[in-house]
Amino acid sequence: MAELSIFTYRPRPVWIVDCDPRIKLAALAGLSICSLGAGWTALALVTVVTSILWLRLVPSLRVLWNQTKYFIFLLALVVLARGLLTPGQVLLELGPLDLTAEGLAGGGYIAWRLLVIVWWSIILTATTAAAQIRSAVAWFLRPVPLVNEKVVATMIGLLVRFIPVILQQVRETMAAQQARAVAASSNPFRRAFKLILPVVRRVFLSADRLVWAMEARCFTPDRPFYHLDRGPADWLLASGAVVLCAALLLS
Amino acid sequence: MKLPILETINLGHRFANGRWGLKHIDLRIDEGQFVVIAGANGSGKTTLLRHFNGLLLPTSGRVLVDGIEVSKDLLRARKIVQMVFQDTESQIVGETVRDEVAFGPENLGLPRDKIKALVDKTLEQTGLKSLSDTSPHLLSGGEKRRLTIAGVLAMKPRVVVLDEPFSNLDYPGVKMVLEQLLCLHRRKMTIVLCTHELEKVVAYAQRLVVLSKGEIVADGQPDKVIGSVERYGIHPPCSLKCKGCLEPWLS
Repeated sequence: MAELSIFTYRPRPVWIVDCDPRIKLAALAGLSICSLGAGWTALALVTVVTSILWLRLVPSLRVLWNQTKYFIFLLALVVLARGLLTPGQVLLELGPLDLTAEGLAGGGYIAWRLLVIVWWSIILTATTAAAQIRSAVAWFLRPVPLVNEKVVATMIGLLVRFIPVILQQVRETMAAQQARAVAASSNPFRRAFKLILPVVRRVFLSADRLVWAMEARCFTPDRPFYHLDRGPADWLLASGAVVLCAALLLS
Repeated sequence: MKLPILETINLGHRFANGRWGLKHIDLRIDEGQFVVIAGANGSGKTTLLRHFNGLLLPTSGRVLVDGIEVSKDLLRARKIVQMVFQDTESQIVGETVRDEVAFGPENLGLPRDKIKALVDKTLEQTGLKSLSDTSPHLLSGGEKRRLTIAGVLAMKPRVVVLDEPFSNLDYPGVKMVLEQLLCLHRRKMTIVLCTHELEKVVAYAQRLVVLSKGEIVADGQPDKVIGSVERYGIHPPCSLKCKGCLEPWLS
């Protein structure tokens, strides 16, 4: 039996699961755009609200940490790079480079914003079935000329559906390599290279097998779409998103 | 004379690398038969199965489904012949058991109420009704395999072809799947199953076809053919060695 990641959709007793996927997608897009110019206070407010929502979805924030720690490590590298490359008040001299307070603050701001956007995206994928996302994407793309909304929506739906499978494959490959003492290699680039090649190969093979299986079951992009409907929870979500967007813009 | 449901006439398949996967395959399968195709790894079993519903097209020769060439009407062939793949993980596209079973009927463009009725009936038949809102990732190996069978049964095929349906299954899983197949056969469904593990299934089959290096090397009633399988790299059932006859695997 496979381990479910927090990215995986499953029916949960949380009101946001039942919300209209169009409202969820619009809220994600709006919040992501508004966060570009947000100040520290508004970002802190949004982080608190997002964390409360998270606690309804996962048993503890530790679970969230465990499953996003590699991304957080990447963000730490962004902060460090920004800290070393931005001129300003020097906090630490590291050979030819100086770690500056302005650089750390700027890097921290970018990383925080990215982290919150990623959290919102995970909330979307964890609470919305791929079929719903597919229907919502098709609904938004319908007025766009020269775009086959059914094909694009199907591609996005499949991508969302297979993110957990790809993550599972990464975990399995890492475990297999750890069992063969990959940690003994001191070169992190070599370790990453050794991981990426088999994972990419597995992902492509799985994609091939998926195509066979879908073709065998007469796949067509003209499948019926999920029935989209709005209820009271949608107005709650939409109002909350508007308030947060306003807070981000005005801060 | 009644037309065979599946027929191959001098079928040959050549891979992109120039190697022949199948050579001179002449096979007639009548409706309602339970046929086991056995062969060592690389003998061409999977390639042959993929020709039955047009996932592969012949390099030479012809494949006919109910009298009509597969390449002339792929959709018709796929409606009649459904395939259960070896790798369940990449065959399952739905986020819940219900979604997965509905995938095929949705592709056929059936009306919503008919899809719902078909899905309910199939879930009932396959004993998956209580799991209908469960994520497929949380199912056991046997349940996943039953789900893939349910997914193809919902399309109301006349022939089900199964590629190594017992691989990676524990004893209860194999028992579950085998009982399901025998139930389908009792309902006059044509079953074509390929495996290298004859032990579990050969006593129930009406016909055993042995493939070696892409060619049919033996074809007939299982008790007549079974004596020759070892020379083609297939392990004969233990009951044959111990008692000199084929015994059903299910007690």
